[in-house]
Amino acid sequence: MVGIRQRLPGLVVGALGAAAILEARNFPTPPGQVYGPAMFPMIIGCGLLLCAVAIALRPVPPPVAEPDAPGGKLAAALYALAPALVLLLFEPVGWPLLSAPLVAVLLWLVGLRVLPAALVGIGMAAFTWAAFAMVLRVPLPRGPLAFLPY
Amino acid sequence: MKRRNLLTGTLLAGAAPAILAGGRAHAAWPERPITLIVPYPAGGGTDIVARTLAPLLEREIGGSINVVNRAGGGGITGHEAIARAAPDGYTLGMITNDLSFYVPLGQSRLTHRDFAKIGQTNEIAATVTVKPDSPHDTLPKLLEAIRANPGRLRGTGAAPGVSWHVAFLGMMDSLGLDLRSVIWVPSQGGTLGHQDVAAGGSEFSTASIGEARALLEANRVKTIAIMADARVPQFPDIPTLKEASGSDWTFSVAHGVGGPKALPAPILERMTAAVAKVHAGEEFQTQLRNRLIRAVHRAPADWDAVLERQLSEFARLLRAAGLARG
Amino acid sequence: MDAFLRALALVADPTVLLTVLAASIFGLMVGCIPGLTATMATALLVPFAMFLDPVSAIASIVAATAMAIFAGDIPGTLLRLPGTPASAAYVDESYRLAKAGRAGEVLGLNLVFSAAGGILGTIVLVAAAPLLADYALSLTSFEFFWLSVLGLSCAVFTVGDNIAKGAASLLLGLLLATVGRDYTSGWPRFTFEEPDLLDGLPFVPALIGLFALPEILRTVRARPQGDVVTMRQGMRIFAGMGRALVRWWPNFLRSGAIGTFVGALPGGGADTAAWTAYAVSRRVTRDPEAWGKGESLEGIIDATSANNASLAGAWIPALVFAIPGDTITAIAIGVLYLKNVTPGPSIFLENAHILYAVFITFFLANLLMIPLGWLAIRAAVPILRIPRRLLMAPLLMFACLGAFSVENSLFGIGVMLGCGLIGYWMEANGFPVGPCVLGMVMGRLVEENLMTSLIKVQGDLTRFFERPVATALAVATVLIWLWPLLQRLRRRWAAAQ
Repeated sequence: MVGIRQRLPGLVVGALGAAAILEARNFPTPPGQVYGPAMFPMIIGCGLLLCAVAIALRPVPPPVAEPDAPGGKLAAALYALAPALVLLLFEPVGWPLLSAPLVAVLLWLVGLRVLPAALVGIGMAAFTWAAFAMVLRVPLPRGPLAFLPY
Repeated sequence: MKRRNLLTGTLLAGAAPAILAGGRAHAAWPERPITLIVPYPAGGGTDIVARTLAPLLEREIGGSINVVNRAGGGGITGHEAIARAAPDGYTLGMITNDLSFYVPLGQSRLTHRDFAKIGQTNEIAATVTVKPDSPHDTLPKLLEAIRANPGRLRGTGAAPGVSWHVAFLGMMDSLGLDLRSVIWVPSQGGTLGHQDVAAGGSEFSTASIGEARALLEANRVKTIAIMADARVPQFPDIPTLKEASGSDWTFSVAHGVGGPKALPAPILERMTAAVAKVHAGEEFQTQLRNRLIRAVHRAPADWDAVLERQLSEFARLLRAAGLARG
Repeated sequence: MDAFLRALALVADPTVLLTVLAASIFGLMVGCIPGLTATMATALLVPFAMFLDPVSAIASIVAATAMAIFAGDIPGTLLRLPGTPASAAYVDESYRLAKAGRAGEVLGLNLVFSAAGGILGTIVLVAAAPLLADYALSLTSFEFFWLSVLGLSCAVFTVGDNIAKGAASLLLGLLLATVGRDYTSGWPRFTFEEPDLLDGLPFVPALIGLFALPEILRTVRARPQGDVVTMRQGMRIFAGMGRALVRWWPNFLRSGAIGTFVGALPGGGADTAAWTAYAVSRRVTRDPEAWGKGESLEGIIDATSANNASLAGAWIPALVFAIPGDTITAIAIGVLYLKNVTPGPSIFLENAHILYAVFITFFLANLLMIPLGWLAIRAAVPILRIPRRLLMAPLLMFACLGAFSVENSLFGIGVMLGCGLIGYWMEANGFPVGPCVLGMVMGRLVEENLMTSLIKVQGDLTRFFERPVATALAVATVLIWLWPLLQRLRRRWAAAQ
């Protein structure tokens, strides 16, 4: 268990280097050129393989993580999921209707009570709409709220 | 061209109830702001034309137009966003003849055929530009040097396979010169291509005269030919390619307004008329002239024919240069 | 002189002054929000520039970018989230100091040295623009190649304690920089048939992902520790500034010069300038022990001076030859054309009053930075009283919006998420993310100039030393590589004596 956990960084770096070299072998050298687009990725891939060997030979235990909060792992996972949710629902739901509940839930997850969380969520949606869509003129999707001004 | 109008007509007739609603919408168009997508970054050539055009068009159609830059993917993502937009007349865009490179280079299946054309607005012509103290300070001398020293001289101005490189390929091809007898040095845009010539890194560049203007004034480069069918008014001493070498080849980066293929005919017609009218106006003409951009208007049908011809011609050149794939 | 007086009158116009003020506040806002960059501030100003007179239009860009580059230090110091890429080089060091209760001191130094760096760069711009631009014009890909290798070589010293892992991170950054259409052949590398990747991995979303997401996830996951960042010194951010200026002026001059120079080179921007100055500082410091422990201000002062100095530097080739020194001036040149002010040697003759007006706004903006920056710091610091965990949800939203608005594309959010997860894994396993970002910044410069040079000489490597300046740079690079070896030899020789 300890072995795998400590060897993993070396393995990942090695795999990355190997993948870079394998993929770069398919890059054709254009006619009339001595060095092609494959050269640089190849050099980097070899460098990564060297690093992998160095890391694997001298496995250093990863830095000690800070102690988890109760439910901290779950909260972190859900925070990581939030951008994925934005990715999925950004266009159909629109920014305001997406961000307000999302912020509220994320705040509730880290211990804010329901009412303040909901209020901050709504405030955040309004503020970002004003700042990004109206001042900075970023074309954020409106979703069903077609009346919102840009 | 005719057939497409017919097709649009039948499609419109087929969806009668929707059209009834849609028809009223068209009458009122534009009742909300129109988005004009620019597939290149803010401040670039395409963007400047769009931002010059937008306020004049606003006045003409009586609605507001937001210019939105959708750069990235070498222009492909922005062009795709225009082609795939809902054909309600509220998303239009600037389209360029870069559309003719994507298929031969195997980068995308997108061509000009995926767009409704509203009107070409301008052209930016390629040049041949050298160092003032170069031994080949006229086009005949340069061409002679290329013939005499195959594989020695270096040309630059763009990444391989796009704009100014294709201009170079077409020139060589039209003069019966081996495309590979010049080393093509890639450059990050036309200005830096001219800079490399001024620094002595390459012998000549084919980027536009607007990109060379400051260096021309400083006498750090010398433009010896322009790949257009007429001289530039501000630089009357620079000959066209035909005058300097006899070649009929011309190359320009061309911009224009387009929309998704299924753009309803009434909107298309109104926009076409608006673009033509704005284009003829003194304001637009002056603004473009100041930037050394040539205001060339082409109505949808003419523009379509030019783009169609370029599509096959550029593909042939890229194949000959060994850059085509797929 | 006549032109100068006309320029003064132009700038003294209330509309110009108001525009500068509004643009400054706008720049501070953009810089403070992680994910919005100075380049974006410029791009967002283009529509407004349409309606302004030429001087106001350029002044608004100058003011907004100067403020944004400084303001990027505020979230960098308080939250370890760089507000703009130009602050990324030193957020770790700043945040460590902030945790030790020295946030006020760090921010005060950032503010004063940013303004001073900007003024130094402007002095160079005013005094030597035609001369320097002329010099920059004589550089070819050979010189650019050796310069970028020189920068990268200095940078290797930033990899940290575990050399293998730091190097792996740097190499990952270099590898990520190769994503997209190959510069020399147009061949799409590592793009997986995704058109959005043809122009390369979008840098700003990747940067937000690598820096912001791991920090957010770690904060949410960890047990709350109460007062993590405290303001021991209260609000007296200028305390001890006089002593600091006396102590650090050699660093300031060196880094201001580096920043201006890097800015003037096409391809290098404020982020490259900050990394280079930081790396050089680390290389030549007299006190290497203090680095990385939250005790040394040296790297911060060097980098924060350099990134503001580079802004003015970038205008040197832009004004004289219409060749952009960075992404900001690339847009600004477009705005100049739009306003019928044609950059080029003739700008010194035909439009001298406008040119001088631009110079004056540079000074004005950098002086205005002190009071406005002070207000911004005062407004931002109370954030520290809010428990850190509660700040993470809004920051996550800003990260998403920032990643989206770079190209108005959902793809940016995807890149942000992907890079964020990679960054989280890297930090959990002892890989520093700084070198990775550095690799992304420098990778393209090194590869493009190497490949261009190789094409020019058709693979004949000896011709890399043909040009005298290139040779000198090559020798400097090799010396930097051999330096540790030479030092060891000298020590051994001294011991043998």
